[in-house]
Amino acid sequence: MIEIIASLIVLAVMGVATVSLAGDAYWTDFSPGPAFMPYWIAGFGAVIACLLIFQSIRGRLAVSDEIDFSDLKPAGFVIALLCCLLAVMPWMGMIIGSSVMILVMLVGMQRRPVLPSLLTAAITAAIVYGVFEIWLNVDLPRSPLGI
Amino acid sequence: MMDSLTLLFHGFETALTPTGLLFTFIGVLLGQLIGALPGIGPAAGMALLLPVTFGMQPNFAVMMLAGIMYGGQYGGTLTSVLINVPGEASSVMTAVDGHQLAKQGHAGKALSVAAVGSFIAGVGAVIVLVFAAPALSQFALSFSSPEYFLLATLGLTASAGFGSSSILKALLVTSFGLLIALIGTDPMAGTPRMTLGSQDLLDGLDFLPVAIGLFGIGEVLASLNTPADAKIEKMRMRDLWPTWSDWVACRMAILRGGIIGFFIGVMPGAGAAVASLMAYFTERKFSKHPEKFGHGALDAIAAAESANNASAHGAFIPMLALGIPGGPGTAVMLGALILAGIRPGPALMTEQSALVWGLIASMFTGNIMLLILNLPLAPVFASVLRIPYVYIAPPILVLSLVGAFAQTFSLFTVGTAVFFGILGYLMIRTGFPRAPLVLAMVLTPIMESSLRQSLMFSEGSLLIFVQRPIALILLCAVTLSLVVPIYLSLASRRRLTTISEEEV
Repeated sequence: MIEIIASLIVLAVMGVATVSLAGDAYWTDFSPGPAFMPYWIAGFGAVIACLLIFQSIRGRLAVSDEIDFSDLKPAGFVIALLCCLLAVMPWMGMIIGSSVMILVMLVGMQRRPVLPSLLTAAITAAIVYGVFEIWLNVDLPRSPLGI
Repeated sequence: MMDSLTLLFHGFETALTPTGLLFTFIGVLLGQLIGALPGIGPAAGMALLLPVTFGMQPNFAVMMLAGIMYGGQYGGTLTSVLINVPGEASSVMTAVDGHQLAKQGHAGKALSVAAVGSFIAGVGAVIVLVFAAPALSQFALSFSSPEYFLLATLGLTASAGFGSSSILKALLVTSFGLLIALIGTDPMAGTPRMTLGSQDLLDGLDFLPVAIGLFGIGEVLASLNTPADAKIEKMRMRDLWPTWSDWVACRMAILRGGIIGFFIGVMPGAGAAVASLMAYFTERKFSKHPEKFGHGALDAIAAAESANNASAHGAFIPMLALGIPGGPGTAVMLGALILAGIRPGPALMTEQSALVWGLIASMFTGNIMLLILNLPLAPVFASVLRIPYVYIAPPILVLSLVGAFAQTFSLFTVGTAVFFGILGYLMIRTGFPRAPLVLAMVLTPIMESSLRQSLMFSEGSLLIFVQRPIALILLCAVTLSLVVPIYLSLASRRRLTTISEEEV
């Protein structure tokens, strides 16, 4: 089933790509145009997706990889945290936002003691600040506090 | 041959400078740690560390990244032997026998045979690399755009055909990777392509956030259920050195493992995991005591570990000589070169001679460092395993996000890394290979420009791909890389059907 879903998603992506190429030339006067390779790739991808769907329906996949989503709950929680961090990063700053995320992951999600969790957040923040802000001069998003 | 030795000598002049030694040491140390940590592989480590190399000289940056790649093969042994959790897929076979030996009180023996075997095979592979890579690169200098296109295609098809359990799944991922790599401004016409009106997509999807997402974030998300308190088998310094008879028993296993690993490493797609698996089963056939395999055979560890390290070094040959990465590690490496403004390809060995030979020389020094790190310092690294994984996962996520941001200073890149992290997690859980996606992203620009140039020269005729002898050979290789895995898959399915029918 998962192969069929994946194939349908890829088919949709190939479809969107093909539609978005509507105004682009397939061939110019003397050479292939911007749409030349994308059209071929989209066609190739569509053929492979159809073959995979056909193979899945006939139940003839060479190796049926075991699908294990037992960690979907913690993974989903962390994905939600990452999305929240992305949303708050412009005004909370990257270092403070990341530190909060580490604390929520360790104390809130994993039920770890507060002190080692604080230490982990502090060490990570120090590494990020030292390596990226000071050494590499990367201007990370800052909070109103200046970090 | 003398030319290679002279160039290698010049390479040592760079590799043996204090800076060269320092960055090689940082690389192998990080590789050792990354390899020891379950849930993050060398490719992820290299992708995470890539932003740190932005301010560095490219020759030292590649030394460090290469150190992570082969250092990871040494590090994976530690967790396999001491806690029965392979740090890398390539250490799975080591875990089978290594942990049994650890339970019998011979953890030190297992680790030292693995370290020495890896060292001998690694150095042997680098010696072959010294002579094979320049010859291959010299030959490839006669390539023109049709050959380049087919060579890049071969990199993708071989990786899809031999690097995955399902060629269709791998090809589906490859086509997705090829398509998203084409998003952005068309390199010849200069017009936006498949950007859907987004300003952020005008420069295309960067390779780095995709690699960080797929390997860094994706692997962390898939490792959240790693047991927090695994039982670590004890080891003492005095147990470290095996007896003379142990060495005698292992010498051929190291040789066979090294040779198998090297050849599999050179082939695109197969990688260190396949190398160690093949070496393990080959050694079982040659062993005087095959019944011990799976119950603590020292020669099994010697073969598997020699193979995975030789494979990691062998993978540098197509990357350095042809500019074609065979797996995710060399794809990240190639990405690093491109980000540093260096054009990979057959001319790399002549145009960037100092960089290439410095890198090769650093592999000798790096392997010596790893031998030292793995013999007397093995107990120190074992203590790292006492840090529960739950405290390591969040910092890896943070470094992934910051690393992605550091490339473009844009939150869009961070979002891209998160998106591909989610995709990477789903791919791990559903058995879709991630390496073809990264390989496609690295190879698409070469493929597109060479395809368009070829068709421009031939005025649209596809015959250009069969009229040139080398192109024809490469076209046959591309076809074989697709046909052989399909044939093997069909044959194994037929065999399984026959067996199940006989059982009924």
